[in-house]
Amino acid sequence: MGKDQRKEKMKVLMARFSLDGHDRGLLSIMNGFKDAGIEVVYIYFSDPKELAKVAEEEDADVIGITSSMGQHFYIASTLLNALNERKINAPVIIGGVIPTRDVPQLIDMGIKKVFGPGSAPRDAVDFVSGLST
Amino acid sequence: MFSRKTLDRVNEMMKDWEKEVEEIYVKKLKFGSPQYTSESGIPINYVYSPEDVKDSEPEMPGAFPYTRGNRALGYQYMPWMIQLLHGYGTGEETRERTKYLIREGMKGYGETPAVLFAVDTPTHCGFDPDSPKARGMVGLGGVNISTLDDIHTLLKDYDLPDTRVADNIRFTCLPFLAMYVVYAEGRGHRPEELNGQSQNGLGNRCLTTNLPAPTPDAQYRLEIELIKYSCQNIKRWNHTNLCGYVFGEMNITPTQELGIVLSKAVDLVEGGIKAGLKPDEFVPRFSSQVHLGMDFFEEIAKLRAWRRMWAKIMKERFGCKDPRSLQYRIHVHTAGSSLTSQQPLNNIARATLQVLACVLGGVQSMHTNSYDEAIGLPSEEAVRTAIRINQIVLHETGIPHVTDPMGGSYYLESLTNKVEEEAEKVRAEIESKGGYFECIKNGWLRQLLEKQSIKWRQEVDSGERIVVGLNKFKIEEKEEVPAFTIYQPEIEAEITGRLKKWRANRNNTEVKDSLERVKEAMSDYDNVEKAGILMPALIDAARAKCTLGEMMEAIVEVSGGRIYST
Repeated sequence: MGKDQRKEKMKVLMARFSLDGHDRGLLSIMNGFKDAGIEVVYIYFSDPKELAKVAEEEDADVIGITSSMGQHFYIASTLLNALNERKINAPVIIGGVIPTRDVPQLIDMGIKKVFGPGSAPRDAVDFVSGLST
Repeated sequence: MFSRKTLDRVNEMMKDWEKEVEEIYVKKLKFGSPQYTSESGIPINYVYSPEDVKDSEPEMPGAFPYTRGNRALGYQYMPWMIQLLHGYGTGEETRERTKYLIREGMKGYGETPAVLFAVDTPTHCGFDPDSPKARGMVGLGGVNISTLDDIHTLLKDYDLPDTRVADNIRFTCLPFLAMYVVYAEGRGHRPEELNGQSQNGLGNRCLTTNLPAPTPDAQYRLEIELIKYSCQNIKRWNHTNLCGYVFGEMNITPTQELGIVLSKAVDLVEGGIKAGLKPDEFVPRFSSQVHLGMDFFEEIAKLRAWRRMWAKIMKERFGCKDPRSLQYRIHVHTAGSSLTSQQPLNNIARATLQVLACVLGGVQSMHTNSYDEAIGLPSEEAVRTAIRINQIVLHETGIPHVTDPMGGSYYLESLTNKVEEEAEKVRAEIESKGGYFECIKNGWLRQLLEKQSIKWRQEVDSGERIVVGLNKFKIEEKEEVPAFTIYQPEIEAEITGRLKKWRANRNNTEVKDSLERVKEAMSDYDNVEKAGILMPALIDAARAKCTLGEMMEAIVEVSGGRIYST
C-alpha cells in the first residue's frame, strides 16, 4: 500500500533494540496508541534489517523506535538505510533519552519526529493521528 | 508504650483538636479535608499521637529487630559509604572516572577504595563486542568487559584485597566472577582474600528490562550456584545484591518493592538450604540496592520496616542465630525515575531530600544521582555535586550525630508499622502464587510492573500527580545541560580490535575443551541440590582465556532462553 492511501485504522510498528532495556516510555506510548484506536505491533530486534523486514510484512504506517542509551544515531542511520533498500516510505519516529542538540541531525537524516525526555504519550498519538487525516 | 492515664489524656486532647478542625477549618473556613495517601496508598492522617503507636514495643538501635539500626552506634562511629555507580567506554576511561570519584570523596568503609562499576549491555547479556548482536551498543552506559585484560585495565592500580570491587552485572555475573578470581590469582591473590560483591540478580534484571537472558529456571540455579561458590570460597564476598531499585524505576510502590524483594530473599534462602548450606553461612552476605523515591516519610519508614521484616523472617522462619544474618545492610540508589530533564538543577534539590531520607533511615551506603542523569551519563561537575550533597549532610548539618533521630516520632513509627503490614501482604501474595521465581515465569510480576508504569504516566498526564518542571511550573527551556557523550563508533572499533588480538593469542583447543566442560557442568547442574559444579568449570574456562561472551554462550546453549519475555 502506498503512503498516500488512507487506512481506516493506523498501524504503528514499535520496536526496541534488544540490548536497550529501557521500555517504560514505550509501554506508556503503546498504551496511548491503543486507547486512541491505533493498532500497535511491538517487536525487539538486534539488526535493523530485521526491523525493516517486519515493517514490510506488517505494512506499518509508522515505525516508532526508542533509544535511551545513546545509540540513536547508529540506530537511525542503519534503520533508514535498511528501509531505503526495501523502498519503505513509512515515517520513522524516535523517542527516549535524546539530547536536544542531536535533534536537528536526526531530522536531517530522515527521522520524521523526535520525542525526547518529558514528551507525553499524547504527543506521539497526536502526531500519528495527524498522519491519517 | 504509654500508660493508660497518658492515653486517656491524649484522647481528650485529640477530641479538642478534632473539634477545632471541624468547627473552624471545615465549617468556618470551608476546608475541603482532602484524604492524603502515601505513595503506596496508605491513608495519612493530619496529625499523629501516642494513640497511633500505643501497641508498639520500645526498641533500641543495635538490638533485634533492628528497626532503629543494625548497630548501637550509627554514623557517629562509621559514616555511610559514598559509592557511585559509574563506567563507560573502555577500561581506561572508566578507570579515570573511578580515580576522579575517589579523589572527590567516593569511598567504602574507612579508607577502603570502592570500585562500583557499571557495564554496557553487551557485557550484561554476554555478547562479546565483536558479536553482531552488540553492534552500536559497545561502551554505552557502562564499561565493556570481555577478557582478563579488560579487568586488568580497570583494576591494575588497586590492591585487590583492600578494594571493594562491586560489579553491577546482570546475567553474566558468574562468568565475570570466574574471571575476577582468575585475574586475582594472576596477581598472586587467593579467592578468600577478595572483597566485593556480585549483583547476582538475574531474575529481576530480566523482569524490568526484558533483555536477552537465560530462562527463569536457569536464572534461579545460576544465582544459587554463585551463592554456594562464594560462600565456600570468598568469605568476604557479598554474593547477592537484593535489588529493589529496578522495580522502583518501573514505578512500583515502596511497599511493593519491599514485599517483592523479601519474596525473592525467601526463595533464595530456601534454595541455599537445598544446596546444602546453613542459613547462617550465607544470609549475612546478602547486600542490597534499595530504590529511594520522593515520598519522604514513607521512604524512611520503608528503610526501617525493611530491617525489621528481614530480622523477623531470618530469625523466625529460617532460625538464623548469627546477628549478622539478622542485620540487613542497606545500600540505596536514589531514584533515577524522579529526575527530570526539564530544569535539571531542580534534581539537586530532589537528590538532597533523598539523601536526607537515607540518613534519617540509617542506610550503610548510597549512590546519589547527578542532576544531569535524565539526559545521559553524568558529567564530572554533576557527579561531584552529587558527592558534595553527601558531604554537606555529613559535615554541616549535625544530622548524623544522633542514631535514628526520627525514632519515636508518632507519625514515623506508625507509618513504619503500616509499611510493614502492607509489604507483608505483597510478600504473602507472591508466596501464595508460588514465590518470586514462579511469578517471573508466569508473568504476574511483569504485568504488575507494566501496570504501575502506565499508571504513573496517566497520573502525570492527568495532572493528578505533580512533577515540578514536567507537568507544572514549566518554563521555556533555553539550553539544556550539555549531555555527557562519548564517540561510540571509535570506542567500539578500539575494543573490538583488542578482542581480536586476545583471540589470536590463546590456545584454541584449550578454549574449546574448557567450554565443552562448562556445557557439561551446566547440563549436569539440573537441580540446585547439585550447586557447586558450574563455577569450577567457569574458572577453568577463564584460565584458558575464554571470553565472557563465550562462557555465557556455553551456559545459555544448555539452559535455553536469551530472548525471554513474558
